[in-house]
Amino acid sequence: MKQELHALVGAYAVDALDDIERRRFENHLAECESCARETRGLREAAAHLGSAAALPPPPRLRDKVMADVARVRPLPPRRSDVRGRRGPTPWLFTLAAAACLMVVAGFLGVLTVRAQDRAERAEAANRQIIDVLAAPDARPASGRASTGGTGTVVVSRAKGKAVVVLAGVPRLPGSQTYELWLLGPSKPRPAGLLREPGTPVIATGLGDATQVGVTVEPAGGSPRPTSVPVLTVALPA
Amino acid sequence: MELGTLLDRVARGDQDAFEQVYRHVAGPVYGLALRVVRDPAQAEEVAQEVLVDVWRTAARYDETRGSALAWVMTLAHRRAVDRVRSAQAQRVHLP
Repeated sequence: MKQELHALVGAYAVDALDDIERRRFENHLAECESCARETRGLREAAAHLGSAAALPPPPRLRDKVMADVARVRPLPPRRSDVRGRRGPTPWLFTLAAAACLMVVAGFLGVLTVRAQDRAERAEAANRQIIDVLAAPDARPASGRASTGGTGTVVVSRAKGKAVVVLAGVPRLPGSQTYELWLLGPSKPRPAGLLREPGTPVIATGLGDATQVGVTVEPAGGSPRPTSVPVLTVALPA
Repeated sequence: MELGTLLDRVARGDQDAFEQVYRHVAGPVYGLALRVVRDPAQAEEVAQEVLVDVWRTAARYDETRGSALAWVMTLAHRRAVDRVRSAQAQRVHLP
């Protein structure tokens, strides 16, 4: 029972539980410090991944919001910390689950694509990303790049996969790309190109890797690193 | 000034602090909303709701439970989920 609840951390953090599961999990959270800590870490990683996808809103949004703000008074702090619930919607469960998948995909800032085949490929990538984020053993980690910006990683050792996203790093000219590496006892292994900062990349086959590194390479990538990493992040064991 | 500190001031009704919060989070909130609902007009509405929520409920932000940005993004996520769910429910009820 306890184990079963522990396993819901990832799904809870990305808001992929139904109302009943969520309530059970929140009761559990109140008394399980390790789940509370994991939830915070994953939420932070998800927020980070989400904000990497920031877009400037239309300028009129500010005026609309400020007009509302002038009319509405902030609520006083509440005593109990029980979160208000919107009505439970069990009949919507299947739809909700589908919505959650879309939402998590959106959360990760995967580019909206219109063409059908591109959409299908994006869906497949989204599913892989969700698979890692919602894994029972998903752990977040992050680091600062020497060029400015950050890298955020969510690792599932059980799946041997990691989701990596860069935020706020300088954009590279077309002749160069960021390349991801798995670092450990054996020699660096290439793990994919980060062409678009802000778009998450899945690294598979983690094996005995203890770190991920990012280097700047010629467009198309290199079989082994040709420059000093601009970022390394230690992977949680 | 740090987002969490600004939210404390917002909770006391400080509109200048809210303007700064807006500058920090409007881009991430709008970007998230657009990627979820996939329609610019609806994303703008969702972002408006979320930002007014931030103003209204700033006192409910609890720093022991995570960063201010994570709190705002969670609010945005909820609002966007609600929007997608209600759009799908309407579609289901169509003859």
